[in-house]
Amino acid sequence: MSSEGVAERLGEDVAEFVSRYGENDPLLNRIRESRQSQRGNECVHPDGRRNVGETVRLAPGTRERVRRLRPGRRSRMVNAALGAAIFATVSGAALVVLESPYSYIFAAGSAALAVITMVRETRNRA
Amino acid sequence: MLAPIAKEVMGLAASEGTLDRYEMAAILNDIGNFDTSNFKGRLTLQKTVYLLQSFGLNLGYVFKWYLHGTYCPALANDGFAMEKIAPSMPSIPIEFEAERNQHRYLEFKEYLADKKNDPAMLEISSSICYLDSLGFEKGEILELVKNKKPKFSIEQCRTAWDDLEKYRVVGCSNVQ
Repeated sequence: MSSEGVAERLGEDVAEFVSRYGENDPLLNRIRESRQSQRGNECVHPDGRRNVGETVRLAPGTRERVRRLRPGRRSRMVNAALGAAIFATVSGAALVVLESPYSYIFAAGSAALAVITMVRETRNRA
Repeated sequence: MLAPIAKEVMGLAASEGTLDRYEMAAILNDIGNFDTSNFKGRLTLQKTVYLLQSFGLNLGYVFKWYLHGTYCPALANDGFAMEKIAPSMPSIPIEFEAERNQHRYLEFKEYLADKKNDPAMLEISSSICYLDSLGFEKGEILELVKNKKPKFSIEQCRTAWDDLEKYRVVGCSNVQ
């Protein structure tokens, strides 16, 4: 593998990497030889056994405590309903009060704002 | 196509990690050094999670070597997302399903106690772990870390190695 390839695997800027370390750097050579560097860091268990694939899980009690701290589906539904209500009220009012073609632009704008608000709120809670 | 969006919306980590962001935030709150508002904090987060994985608690993040050593872009993304969650989250005691993971987690906290606010030592330690995982010998590792990171002294590197060796994270030649 070329230095460029190694730099890419390491996530570094290629030109900077090559100029800094050169072509015959021992770290580069070792990474070239290594097949495991893309698998993440190995995990050493207390018995000295290394493990790459298995990921940890929290105990059921801890998972339950965390679940209680997380905003539920109901909260997201309330947000969605609130967004829809804002949209309906604002665009409806605009259509009635302005009675002009511009009111459609205003309604579209408020709809977009409501959708953005809902999406942002949901993402913030994710 | 929809799976990543669903994961994002449902609060699951958008990266390779199997724990969701709330579980990750709970762990980081328990460890007690989570702050992505500045560079030192972000570096500390990267190195802490790398070292936690090196202790055997695989959270599913894949790290690469970057300017400051080990770095995972997916963890960086999760870190920014967790920043919105963690401050309002009360600290809860963390327990893992597998007893050996729980034991290792407690050892990790003990290991980290005097260095969790020391980004330099975390950077040296995680770099040592990374190079060890590539199969370098101790002498080569210390020399490489010193060469790649001239701002650190060889004494700091030796101290970091000794600490990691004490907790059986590096120098396990009988593995796999």
